[in-house]
Amino acid sequence: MRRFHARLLFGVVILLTGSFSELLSGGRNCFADETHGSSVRDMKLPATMDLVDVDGQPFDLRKASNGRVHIVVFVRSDCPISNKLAPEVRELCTAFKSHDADFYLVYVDPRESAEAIRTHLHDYEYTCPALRDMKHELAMATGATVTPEAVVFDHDWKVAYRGRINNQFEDIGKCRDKATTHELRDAIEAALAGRTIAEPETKAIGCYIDDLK
Amino acid sequence: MLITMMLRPLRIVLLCSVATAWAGCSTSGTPITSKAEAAADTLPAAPKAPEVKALTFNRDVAPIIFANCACCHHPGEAAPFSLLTYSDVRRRSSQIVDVTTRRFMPPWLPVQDSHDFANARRLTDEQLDTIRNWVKSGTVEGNAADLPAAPTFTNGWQLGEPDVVLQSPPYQLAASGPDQFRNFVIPIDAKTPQWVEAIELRPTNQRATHHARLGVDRTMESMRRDAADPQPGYEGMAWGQDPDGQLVTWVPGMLPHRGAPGTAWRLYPKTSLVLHTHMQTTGKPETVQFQIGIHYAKEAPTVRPAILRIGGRNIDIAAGDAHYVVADEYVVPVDIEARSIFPHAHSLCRQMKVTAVSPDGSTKPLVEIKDFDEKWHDDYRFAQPVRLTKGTRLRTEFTYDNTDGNIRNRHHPPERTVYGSNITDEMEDVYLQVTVAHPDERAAFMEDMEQTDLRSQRVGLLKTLEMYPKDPWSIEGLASCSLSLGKPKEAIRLLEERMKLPEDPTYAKVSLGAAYIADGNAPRAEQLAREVLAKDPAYPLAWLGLGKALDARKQPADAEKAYRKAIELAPALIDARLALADNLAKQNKPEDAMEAAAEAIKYSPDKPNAFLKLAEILAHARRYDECLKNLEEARRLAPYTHPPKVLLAVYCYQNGDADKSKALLLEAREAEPAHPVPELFLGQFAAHEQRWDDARQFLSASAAKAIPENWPESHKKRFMILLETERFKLAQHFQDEQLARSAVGEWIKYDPDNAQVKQIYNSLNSLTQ
Repeated sequence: MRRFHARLLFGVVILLTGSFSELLSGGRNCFADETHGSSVRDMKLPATMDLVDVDGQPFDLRKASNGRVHIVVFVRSDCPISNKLAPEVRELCTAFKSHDADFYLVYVDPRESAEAIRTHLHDYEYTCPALRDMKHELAMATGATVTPEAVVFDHDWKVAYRGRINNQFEDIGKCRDKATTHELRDAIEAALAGRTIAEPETKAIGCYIDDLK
Repeated sequence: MLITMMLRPLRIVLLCSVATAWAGCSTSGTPITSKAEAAADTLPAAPKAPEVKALTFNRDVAPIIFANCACCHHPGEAAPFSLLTYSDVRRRSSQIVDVTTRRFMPPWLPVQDSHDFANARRLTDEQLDTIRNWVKSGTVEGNAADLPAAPTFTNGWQLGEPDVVLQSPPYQLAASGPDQFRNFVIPIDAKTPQWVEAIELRPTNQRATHHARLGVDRTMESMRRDAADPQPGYEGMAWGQDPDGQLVTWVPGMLPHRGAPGTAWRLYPKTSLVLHTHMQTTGKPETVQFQIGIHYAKEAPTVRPAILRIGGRNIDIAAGDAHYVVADEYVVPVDIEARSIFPHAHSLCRQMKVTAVSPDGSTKPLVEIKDFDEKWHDDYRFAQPVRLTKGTRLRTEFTYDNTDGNIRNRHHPPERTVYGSNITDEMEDVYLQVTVAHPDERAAFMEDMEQTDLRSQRVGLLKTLEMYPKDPWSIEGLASCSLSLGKPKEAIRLLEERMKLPEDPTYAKVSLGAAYIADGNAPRAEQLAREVLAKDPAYPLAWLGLGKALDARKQPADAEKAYRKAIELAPALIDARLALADNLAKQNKPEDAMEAAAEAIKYSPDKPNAFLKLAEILAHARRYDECLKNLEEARRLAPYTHPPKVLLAVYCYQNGDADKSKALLLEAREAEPAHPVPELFLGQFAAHEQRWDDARQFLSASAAKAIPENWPESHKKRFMILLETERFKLAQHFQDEQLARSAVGEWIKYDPDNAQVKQIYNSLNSLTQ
């Protein structure tokens, strides 16, 4: 119920602060954004999605993945928060490999060179496949807004979880020494077990994907 | 003397944290809190004029970004990305609005009106509005002609090419895990002592480094600790002293600066630099290394700053306490000027406030931080030196939150946290770089500061030990406090307990030896020193300890060998040089003694001790003119010392030349009629020669004179005890009860622990009853 009120309030804020010209311009700005951040309930991966692999070859996520759950983690090579959380992402990727879970890193910066991404993958010792979401279609479709942010899909490509990796970052400049909760891990475990995820959405802290348009 | 060496490092220790990089940003787009809401919460009320000016990057935004952000946000610096072009900024635009609105960037903790700082980096509200409105109106690039030249940065040394470049050993930092605190040791290979004007610290991997502080170790103890640790550097106590009143630090974005004119400090051969470093994991393995650029000064210093540490150490925060306050007060004993302020605490600290209350009651804030973040503190340099007159009360008040609500809390769930230098302990430290307004009051100020700090350390260490009774380093620290406070037996008890603990006892043994010498048990001290040397024959502090034990055992020739060995290993170990000079004089080798004292002066030209030692040796060789010159030099460095002719008079008396001694005292009285000491000694002379009336006259004259303002407390105490003892003798001779009461009344004030004076005092009182 509280969540519902918050959404209503959100709408009001847009009306109060957004100027007419912004609404007309289609609004690439940080104050109002209708697509991003929408609820994950009943959200599903669209049938077609313009994704490429690091070599620039089209990549069909649905075709390529036949595990029981599918996980994507949005990253950006120059985002210190997504880098700081790399070890946990790496560990989860390794830990769930044998559990029929497909793990993907999704780079969101369209300007980055393939070479820079390869170097980044090497430096941070990632072993999971990397994709590129050049037009932010996947981010928009899942409502992810920052890097790092994770989305867990069930076998049917319904969004089961979207949000933070863990609670190490509480807010801007507010960082725990180490995380005390591990939401992504919990979500994957629940999805694999066919359990409902108690909190299907959490607030991820990181660098805005939207800035990269 | 060992004692002071033992104590100092505690002060600079673990000025740990400041750190994890930027890493922190944003708001995400869940419906629960939207960016719009977050912004609306933190924004000032909606702008009155709804019309948004057509702002452009080139004209309006670039100047702000270039001047305030680019200094760190350029390639090779600590920031994780550059902000040098339109594209750089546009690709981060909403992030920039977010972090600047929250004042997370640029990083600057002091609140706006806490003081004017020369190194402030705070955006004005207008600048924030400009950035925000530019983003709101569509991040327009604008006219190319409006774009100011992008700033250029010297990628490399900011202060120019250094005279010498040294490097810390490379350290391999793991990809993840908690922050690391380590001390790296860099030996100094210079052949001769050098004056240093500035040191520029440059981490080769800025993102993995968040803070470093440089100290100097003259004892070589840091080398020993480094060698004992299998990895480069060592953990725990830094074991270095701030170089002569300078804080040499590195924090992200801090531009190195040369010291104030005339504040050069001395760097000696065969000493070592100790770099206390706070490193942060970044997600991938990193190599952390520092380059250290040393700039020599051409001239000796004319101004001698000091680091004044204030703040409470009686800290004991219960788990779950959301608002714990530590307050402290230090009364400034002489007029001083503060140049910078560096407040320090750990992760539980939320707020900091330091104020100065003048004797007239007026209050001025020195620094105030409302949302403390240990990862971002800095040395705040006052735009103008702040005058703090004698009697000013410096007040500190820090508040701490030891709940889970404080996400920086390192304990989960929260735990009781006490004073201590580990990052999981807490501190309330404030370091002020100060200069004394009247140079002849410096010694009095330094002593007051040291004594205050000693008492405070004792309180703090007792607190630490309440919580960690088996912490060997705290026990060692407390023992050195006890020894400094003249309680060798207590130090012995503590250190004997310490020896039962499994941690490396080498240093504790050396300290225990010093305590046994102070307690008159030289054989045990000798045994301890020999035990240490059997394991580590290259340990200079143990050779010094052995020398002192042998001297106390009346084996001066062997003691001499031990001192020489200590000096060979650590030439800047000034205590060994002074002890050697003393030893040679006692062995009746005046020429060698003079040479040793002259060498000691080279390694300590800014302190009076070595000059006084040389003067004493010269006097006993009856080279009075040269003696007087050195006494004059000592007094120039420490104006509270006795008039040179008074000291020479003492030496002449010791040489059996009473007439010359008396003549010198009369000359001294002539030269400094307001000084109370010549008449005290003249009175002593007269009493000794049973010229009682003369004695009475001299002593009354001495007692009537004001004690010079620049005398340190300990100096004043010694003088008063001597004067009142003489006056009491006089009272006994004249059977003058009133004089006796007056003398003993004063005497007991300055010597309250003396059993003899207590007894006299009590019997005088019972006489009245």
